Formats: sequence, structure tokens, C-alpha cells
Amino acid sequence: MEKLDFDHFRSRLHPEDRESVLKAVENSLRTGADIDLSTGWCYRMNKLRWIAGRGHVEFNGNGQPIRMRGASLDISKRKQAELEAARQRNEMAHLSRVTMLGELSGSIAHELNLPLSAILCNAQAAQRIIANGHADLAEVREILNDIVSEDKRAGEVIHHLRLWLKKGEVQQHSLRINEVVQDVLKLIRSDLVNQRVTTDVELARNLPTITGDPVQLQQVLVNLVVNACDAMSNRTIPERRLLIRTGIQNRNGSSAVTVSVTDRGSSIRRKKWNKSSSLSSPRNRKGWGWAFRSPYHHWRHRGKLWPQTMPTAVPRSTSAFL
Amino acid sequence: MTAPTPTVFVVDDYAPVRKSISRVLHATGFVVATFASAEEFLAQYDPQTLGCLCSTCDAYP
Repeated sequence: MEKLDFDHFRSRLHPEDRESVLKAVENSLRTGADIDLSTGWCYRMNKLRWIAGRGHVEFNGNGQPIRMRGASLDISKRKQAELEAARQRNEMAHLSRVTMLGELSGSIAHELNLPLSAILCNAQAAQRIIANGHADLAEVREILNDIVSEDKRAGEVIHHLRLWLKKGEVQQHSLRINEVVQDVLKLIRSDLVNQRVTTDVELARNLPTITGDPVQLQQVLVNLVVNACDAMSNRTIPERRLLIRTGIQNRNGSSAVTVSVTDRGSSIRRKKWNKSSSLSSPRNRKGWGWAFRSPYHHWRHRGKLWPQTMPTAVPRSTSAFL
Repeated sequence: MTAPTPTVFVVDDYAPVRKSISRVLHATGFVVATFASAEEFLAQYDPQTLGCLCSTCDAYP
């Protein structure tokens, strides 16, 4: 039999959890509040077991702590199942990003070709100006500046691609939703041009920052935009208008940052929406346009996604809010 | 009356590409005029001008 004391307990805690567990114990000793390590989080012993704990400190008449009683529950199995589920969801999200990039490869190639063409032409122009023998240094300087900025632009495209292809943990950053919208537009700009879709963007100013994973939010937005375009594929070219708008909306008493994607395609029925937002189905080109591969992200970001069929002022339009 | 100078018309919606193509052509000795869209080109084009059109835009109405 092993003798258990507090030092022993402390030494067995997982290094990452040690500080927070000890803080909870200290807090309890100071204030008399119960320790509750079961709601929301738990701690790891010896890197092997996950424990959920609850404890109570007893004080004597002078307010000195005399004893701590509690119960510990081994929840390793549940925790491992949760971690495995999260890992699988991440894997799915990654897989769907890779698929999406495949579909958008033409658009991405174009986004890379533009700055590359500009760099090549600028370099050739500089070669010719120098060969002509009367080089205007101011012009050459301007050309070099343009080469630098176009190179940076190409680098940004590659940076975005890397983020999309990376198989990483979900990150939680403080971010601006308008930047997410702009990054998405950069990625799919030529896809929209190819589909002859005119895009109007209305970005609200002074929006508060939100917390989330930028890549996953981009992924959801790309999904919405691609599906909105699909829903309009049988419309005439002037009818293919897409409106992306950011703003603040009050819903059920609390305000939230929203992004809406409004298309003029065929509208969606509530039943189909419910079905679509709970499935990870592939893109449905010919159908009604809404097929979400990654409903998980909305949940992860505590966000909501809901459809709205617009009144008659804008015929046949459907908005999806994020 | 002198005939207008033969010109290369460059039409591209991406400004840096437009600018760099015009620089190469200019350094080669051509007179260049640039336009951001087909509509802009058509609005300003004088059929009297001799020229060559260099466009990467899709030709759609």
C-alpha cells in the first residue's frame, strides 16, 4: 500500500494541469468555497488518467482549515472518447479543406499567375530599359518596388494555402470578421469571375473582434459562397449577384457579429436546410445549393447558421447567416 | 492631317499586370494605351487609330 499525502498528489499531477489544480485548492483553503474540478475541465494524473474531482475544506472555529474531503472519479475513458471525436472532426475538416482547394485550384492558380506575370513583365521591362542604354533610374526603382509588392502578394497566396492544407489543432485567435471575408474573397475571386457572379461586399465598420479559428471560419464562408453560386448557376448573368455583408445583430437579447451571404438562386425550404446543416455531404452542384461539409465549425465557434428567404423586394433570394 | 500613331491597346482588369505589360511594350518602342475593362476600351476607342489589341479579359457581354 502506498501512503497518499498532498505532496504525493502534487507530484503526480500532469505538468500542464498542476498550476490550475493547485490554484483551485488554494482558493478553496482561502475562501472556503468547494473545489469543483468536474465541470468543464479535469486534470491528468501521471499523464495516464483523467480525473474529475470535487472537494470540500472543513475549517475549525478559528477559521483554520483542518481537513479536506472529496471524491475523485476516473473519467479517462470518457475523456479519451471526447479527444478521439475531436481528432476525427479535425481530420474531417482538414479533408474537406483539401477537397475544396481541389475544386478551387483553377482560381488559386490564377491568383498566383497574376502577380507572377506582373513580376516577369516588370523584370523584362527593366532588362530592356537597361539594354536601351539610357536607363531612367527613377523608373527602374519604381519597377523594382512593384516587383517586391507583387512578390509579397504571391507569397500571401502561398501562405494562405499552407494554412488551409495544414493539419493542425483548432486555434482560438482574436480576429476581425472583415479580414476573414477579405481573405476568402482573395481566394475565390477568379472562381466568382468565371461563374460570372457579381459580388457586392458591405463590411460594417468598427465591429468588435471575435474569437475563433481563422482558417475554419474561412472554410465555412467559402462553403456558403460556393453554395450560393451553385444555387444561381441556372440564372441569367445579370441575376447572378451575391451580397456579402457583415454587421451586428441582436438575437434573443444578446448581440452577435454576423456575416450574411445572400444569393438570388432558388430559395430553400426549412426542412431541407435542417437536413443539409446536419450532414457532411459533398457539394451539390445541380441541387438547391446548400450542402454543408462542416457543420462542426459552427458548433465549435458557438456560432449559428440560419437561412432566411428574403421578402419579395429581392426576388428569389436566400441568405445564410453565420 | 497626320495619321494617329499606331498604338498597342492593353486591356486587363489587374492593374499591376496592365502596368508591367505596358512597361515592356513601351521599352520596346511601342505607344501603349491601357484600359481596365473591355467596356472602357470600347468607350474610348477611335476606329481611325491603327493598333493592336492585347487583352486577357474574357469576351462576354
